[in-house]
Amino acid sequence: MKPIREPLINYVSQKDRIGATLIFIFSAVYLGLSQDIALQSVVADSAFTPRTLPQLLAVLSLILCVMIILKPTPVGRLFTRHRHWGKLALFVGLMSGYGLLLRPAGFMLASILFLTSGAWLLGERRHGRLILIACTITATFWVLMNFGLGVYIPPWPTGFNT
Amino acid sequence: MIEGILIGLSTALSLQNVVLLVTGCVAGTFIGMLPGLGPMSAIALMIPIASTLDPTPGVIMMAAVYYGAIFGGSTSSILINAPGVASTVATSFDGYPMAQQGKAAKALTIAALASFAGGILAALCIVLAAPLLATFSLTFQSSDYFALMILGLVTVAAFSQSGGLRKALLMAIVGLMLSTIGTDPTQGVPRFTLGMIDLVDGISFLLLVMATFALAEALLAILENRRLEHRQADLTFGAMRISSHEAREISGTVGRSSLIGFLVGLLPGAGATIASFLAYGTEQRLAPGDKISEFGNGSIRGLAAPEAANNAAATGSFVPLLTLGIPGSGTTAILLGALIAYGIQPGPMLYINEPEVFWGVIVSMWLGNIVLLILNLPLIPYISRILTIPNQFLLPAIIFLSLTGVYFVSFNTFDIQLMVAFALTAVVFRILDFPMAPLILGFILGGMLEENLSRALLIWDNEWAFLWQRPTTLVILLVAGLMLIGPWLLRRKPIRADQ
Repeated sequence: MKPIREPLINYVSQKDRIGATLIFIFSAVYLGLSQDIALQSVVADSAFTPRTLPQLLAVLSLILCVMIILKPTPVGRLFTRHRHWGKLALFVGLMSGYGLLLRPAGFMLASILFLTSGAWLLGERRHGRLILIACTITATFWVLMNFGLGVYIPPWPTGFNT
Repeated sequence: MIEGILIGLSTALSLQNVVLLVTGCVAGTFIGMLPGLGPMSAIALMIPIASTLDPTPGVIMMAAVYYGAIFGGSTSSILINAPGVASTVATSFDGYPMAQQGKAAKALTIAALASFAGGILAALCIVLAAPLLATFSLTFQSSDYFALMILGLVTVAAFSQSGGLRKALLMAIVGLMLSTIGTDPTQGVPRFTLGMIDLVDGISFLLLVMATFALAEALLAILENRRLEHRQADLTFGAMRISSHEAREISGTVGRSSLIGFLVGLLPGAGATIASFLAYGTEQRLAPGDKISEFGNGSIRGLAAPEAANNAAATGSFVPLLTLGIPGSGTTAILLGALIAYGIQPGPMLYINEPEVFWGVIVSMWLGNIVLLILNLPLIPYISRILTIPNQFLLPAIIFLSLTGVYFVSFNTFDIQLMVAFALTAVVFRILDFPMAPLILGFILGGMLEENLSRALLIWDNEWAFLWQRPTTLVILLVAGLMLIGPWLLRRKPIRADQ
């Protein structure tokens, strides 16, 4: 079993093949969705319609993907060790949470929370300093945008802004 | 012409105009440094102030803001890999690696000097040949623009390592595919919106570039536990010093890139972005064998080329604006609006009817570039100190500025979620060694390419014959073909310069 499995793993874990396969899937879905683009009857017979470029691009992309999958460049295999995937996932969640909180919690609260949590996740444990820096960055940025550039964003939670 | 320059000097050197010039440069530089706020936003923000001034000082101030913002954008590209505008994306390819090697001060100095030289040389070209060049730029048709976009796309070859041209081309195509999301520019029908109203206007350039460059860089640093800050970096004035050998090395680059930038800047719609990519690609091809591998890893040629080109193109874009009344970019469109609001009609008669405005702006371009250099060079060691901020504060701050920079433009929290998704995808593809620069290039050129292709087909009665029957189009396409297969023919190994 092992002699068969190892070459297979080597083949599949080649970086170029993984990337090209992901783009192949994206391109195939893209090509499928391009069929749904509505065409006005007056342009349906034209040489160039809203579908022309997307379909051309999807086909070119699929061809290139197949070329790469069949003959990848000689670069290393994918190694996932020594990477902090957990920390990355936490940061992605934090960024997404910031987007969700920004409106209901207001700019000040959401931003201070984001900056303090981010610095804490990266190992900062001096809490006083951490909060002070987060508050300073947030307030400076808000003042600069609001008074300096005239871009207003509600600072406080919904219902607390005058 | 001498008389015109003297009129310009007497206008631009009045105390009020010099003060406005300095104010504009400073304001532009700081606004340009903020992710999300490029030259267009900077000028738009200055309109209320400029409207209270007379026409000539108002236009001089707005031109100064324009240059300042372009320079400011380069600073954030170099220091934190966050190009807030398309024209400074190419700057980050070598500027950011230099900053990571502890040479931030030198990178900023080269950027300032190349930018200065590009602006000065382009302003000289304007003085010598503005009316003639404006007429030439008008002969360009949609098919020629389409060919020009293809030429721009061909520069992806510069972002590929040995055997990696297919990956670079693939990423450029993915960028083109992403640019088709949203309302179709020719017929107005929605495409690939998946029924989501937030995608009807398409994906913004700013969102994509911040996600794939700044956010992805910060997330990769977290993933790999890499430190972005450089406590040991040399941030003294001495670190800014450029040796005579380095100056000689970039002098040819700056000259060539300024010319490319100026000529591309003349063409309405082409602008500083294509100019910077073309200049980068050209220099990568012209570099001697031992220097090619430096591209993408902190090459001073790779940094000087886009910087000279984007500033020269910004200056060149004033030619169609001032001599024909045609805005070549969003920024010059705002300037056109401001001029019309002042009661000035730009066009062939401008430098006859309003010589003080025409020559005042031209001379202020020189003065603006000198002011930018004088102001920014002493500040470089201080600006570079951004990189001494500890990682645990620097990384969240970069992410925060990137997210809010995009949010402040659209006020749509959906954009933040989309950014997170793109950033995560970019991290995966960067781990897989797929270059991101061609994706951005494809995305930038996608809309213009489709519009010009559809217009060309309409003009040519749905026939593709324009590709070989129109001489200008054919020549540009042949140059593009040569650029693509040239390195292969010469058996030279193209080098990767993706990040």
